[in-house]
Amino acid sequence: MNKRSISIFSLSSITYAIKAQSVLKKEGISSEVIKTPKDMGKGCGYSIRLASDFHRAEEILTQAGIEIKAKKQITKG
Amino acid sequence: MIYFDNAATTYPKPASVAKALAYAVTSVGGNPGRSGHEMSVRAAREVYKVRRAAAELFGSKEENTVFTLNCTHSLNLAIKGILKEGDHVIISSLEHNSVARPVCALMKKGVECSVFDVYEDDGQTLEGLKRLIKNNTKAVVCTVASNVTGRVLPINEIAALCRDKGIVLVCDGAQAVGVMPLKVGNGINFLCMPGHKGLYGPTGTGLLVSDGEYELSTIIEGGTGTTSTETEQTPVMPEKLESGTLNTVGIVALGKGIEFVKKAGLDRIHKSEEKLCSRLINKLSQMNGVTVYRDKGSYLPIVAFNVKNMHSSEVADYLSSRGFALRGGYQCAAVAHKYLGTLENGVVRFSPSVFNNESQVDMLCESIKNL
Repeated sequence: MNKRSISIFSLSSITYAIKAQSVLKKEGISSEVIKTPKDMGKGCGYSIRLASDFHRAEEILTQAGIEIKAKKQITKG
Repeated sequence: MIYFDNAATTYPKPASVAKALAYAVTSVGGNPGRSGHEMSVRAAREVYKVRRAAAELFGSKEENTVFTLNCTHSLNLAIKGILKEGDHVIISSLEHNSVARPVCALMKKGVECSVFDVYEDDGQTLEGLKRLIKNNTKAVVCTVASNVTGRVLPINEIAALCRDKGIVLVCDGAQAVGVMPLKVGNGINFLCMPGHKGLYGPTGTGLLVSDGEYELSTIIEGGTGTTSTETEQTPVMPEKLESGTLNTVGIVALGKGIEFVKKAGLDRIHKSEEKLCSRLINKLSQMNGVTVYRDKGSYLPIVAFNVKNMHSSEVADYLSSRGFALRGGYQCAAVAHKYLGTLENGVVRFSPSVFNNESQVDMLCESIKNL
């Protein structure tokens, strides 16, 4: 059975979420902007969710100076 | 009517700006940065695109590019966000009320202010500024170019001086953006601007762009779509300075204005407008009793003039009756008029855009001749 992995990075704001999405897209990684899940932050906030590429995405975001407030990888299947 | 009041707001706007307004009203309906649904995220994406375009144009990062309502709003955020009781600020003798009034308000709260004169010789201007610097000088706040006469200040030299002395420089780019190249950095810490003048966006738009070296305290707090369970304002830029719902419609259209300016090219815009100013100055100089307010310094495409001993508002009213839109009076710049010695009659201000042409200038001159 194939295992499916989803990565979520919680970011400081909607601006950083869209910036993160844009930076990752340039590197060929697709993502979507979502509200930060309850278990990853207090109050309203924005995150990006992507399929796989957890470590690469983290590296790209860090290099771009985008602060990651929280992160998690969910493996399903 | 032939419109020569572009220093107040540009008109007409490019067709792409008008089209973008309609598009944003009908198709960008969500509130950016407030919800997680597709419409909200889409609106945020549209806003971000414009933020990025502006950041690129002014040498900043997206997070240091703040949307405001106008240049006055940007200047208030910068001036009141940086100055505290006991600080000393230096402004120029050509300031608009958007600088002079916030500074005046702060003087009642213990901020000291000095004014440096703008001379025909830029070296003399700089020397005068240097002499005013004190131990508690926190900031220099000055216009890049006068909104009354178009006189350009030696801004790069002022920036270098401020950088060397560790003084914050806040620039009012109201007349300069979209006409001359301007970027934050190298001493320019904050650049304030309207979106609706040289950037050809709609009214109700402005930008505060910074190099990120200094943090501003807030003068407005409220909803930012982040850390909503906390009552303390988010420290994260740009949302920290953007409380409340953004003018998404205006911002989307401003994006098209920025695109228009980038495509036209600053140099081409400047040349085309300056050509009209030169033509006007040349014709005015052949008329008896007309005073043009220009010295040997550098100028943006704005011409300030007076006719005989008439009040400038009378001249502007007459020209309006002949189908020409020019601004008379004091252009919201009390400090500048006091310095220019024009407090009695003000000046008539001619400010073209890329949409004006030489034959319109010739028609204007024919009407001025009849005064």
